[in-house]
Amino acid sequence: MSTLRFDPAVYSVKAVKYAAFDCSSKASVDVESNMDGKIVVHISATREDQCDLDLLETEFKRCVLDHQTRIEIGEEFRLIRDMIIAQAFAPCDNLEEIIEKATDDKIE
Amino acid sequence: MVNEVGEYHFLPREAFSLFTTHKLPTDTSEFLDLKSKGFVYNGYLVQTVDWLATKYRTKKQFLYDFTALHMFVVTRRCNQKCTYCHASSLDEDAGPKHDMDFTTAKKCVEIALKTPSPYVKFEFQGGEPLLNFEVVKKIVEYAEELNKKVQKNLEFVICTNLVALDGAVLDYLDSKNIMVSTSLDGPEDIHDGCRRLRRGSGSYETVIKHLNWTIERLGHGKVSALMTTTRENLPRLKEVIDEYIKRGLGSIFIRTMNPFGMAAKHWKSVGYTSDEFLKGYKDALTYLIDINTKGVHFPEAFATLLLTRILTPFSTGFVDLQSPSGAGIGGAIYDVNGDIYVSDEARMLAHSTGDKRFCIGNIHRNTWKESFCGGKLREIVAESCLEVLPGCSWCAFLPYCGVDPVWEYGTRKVGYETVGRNDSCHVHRSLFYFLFDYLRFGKEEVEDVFWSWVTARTFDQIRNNNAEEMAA
Repeated sequence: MSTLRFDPAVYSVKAVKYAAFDCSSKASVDVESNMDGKIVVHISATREDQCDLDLLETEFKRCVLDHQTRIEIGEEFRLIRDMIIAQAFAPCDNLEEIIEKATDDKIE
Repeated sequence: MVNEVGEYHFLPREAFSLFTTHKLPTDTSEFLDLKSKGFVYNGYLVQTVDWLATKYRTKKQFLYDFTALHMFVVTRRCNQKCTYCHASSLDEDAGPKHDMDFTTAKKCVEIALKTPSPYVKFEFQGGEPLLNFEVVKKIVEYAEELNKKVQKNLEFVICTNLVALDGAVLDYLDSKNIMVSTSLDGPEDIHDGCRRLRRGSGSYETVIKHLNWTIERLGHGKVSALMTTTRENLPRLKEVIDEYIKRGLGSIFIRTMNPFGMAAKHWKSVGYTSDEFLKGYKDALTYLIDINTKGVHFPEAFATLLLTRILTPFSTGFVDLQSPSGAGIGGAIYDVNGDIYVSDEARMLAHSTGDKRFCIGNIHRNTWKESFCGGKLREIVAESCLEVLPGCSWCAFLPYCGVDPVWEYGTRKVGYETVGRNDSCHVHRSLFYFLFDYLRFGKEEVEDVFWSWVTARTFDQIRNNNAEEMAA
């Protein structure tokens, strides 16, 4: 078993949980917080052919970084994406209403 | 530097440092160049933002019309057994249960023509569509009948290996103005290396005979060919290009092979690494530029697409490489049983693995709105916006690039590979660097070749035009 610690000032619990889900076919992952407030992750292999803990650790850390980045970029550019998707489905939806709701701007 | 609307500029290092620290003097040529492209402004902010917004909307114009391309898998049977077949086709004698029946075909036409897009293209695929040509004819005629009411700009294309072509088929294709897209992997030994008939012999001789016949009857403008890049032809792309020119074809499209279906099974014999592909592609492009400067107008289609995005403000909808992906909203495919997939690769993923996550409905059970406006397609499209993907959202090439969510999902290796770090990204970024190196360091004639491809004019026409402008 391997133990990783993530600083909640840098990584969200959500990102850690998403990563745990992604790696769940190869590893058993327990997520908890410790007395210092750190997010603690215990990883152990569930498959005999995936026993390289170093590799599992590397993969898990990469997963966490990826999900954390997605969460942050998603928050930063959510509005742009929502407007692009609204335009993509405009023939099906009322585009003006969607943009007004997203931007709080009344479209004249 | 590249900005959000796809304008680019090469800035010397010193000027770049001044620019990033807001110290670039406003009376310099660098500042004026950047201002003309929307990187900076001094005064007239509202007008600048309006102008940029217009450019951004123009770039995303492919989103305005919704699903224009509708592909019909009229049969899963095929008379060839190609080594890399991603369609996982069946024997030509497999029986009619592997054909699309007309009841299903009719419903597919009705669903397809509900699209709000004023332009609609019906593409017939398989297997080999000529093996169920009766349904192809019925689809064409039913679509024409319905179109009297919906008034779309309707086009038909048949994607065929041409082996089963006969006079009656050609007559029909001609009478209904149906375009033909076929497959040609190169000269005989290359083509027959991977594309053999079911009975084991090569197909090249028959394909060339029928290709010549088709071009003679329908004209060059109605006939095109696509190649599949394999280990066999990748180091010999010059010969493939020469073969295409010899056969009177108008362009070539060099892309990586889809690693699905039989290609995945035979990857060791037909596959290659992304670096091997890049080397082959660059050699081919260098050769193409050379022959174009010598008077042979022959574009490479993928470079033309990317250059159109780089050099012009115009929108280019290419379902496999756009943001958001064209999966479902640019094109959709109807399987023999009426299942609707966002792409052919999605259909293949389902057939080879049972994973139907990219199936958005079935024409027998779901309405157009349920399939094309439902939550599943919205989620697929939303997850393919480069603007929110790690690695892509801060990439300089974002305005020119895109992602194929099916390809990304289907090729995800053991471990987690985000889009901005995988093979597909590596290939596209390398191609962008390659093209920009040409634009920055290449001779003037190279850019003229690129403009000849983008504007569909000959190299001499571009040169003469430039000479006239200089004289004026």
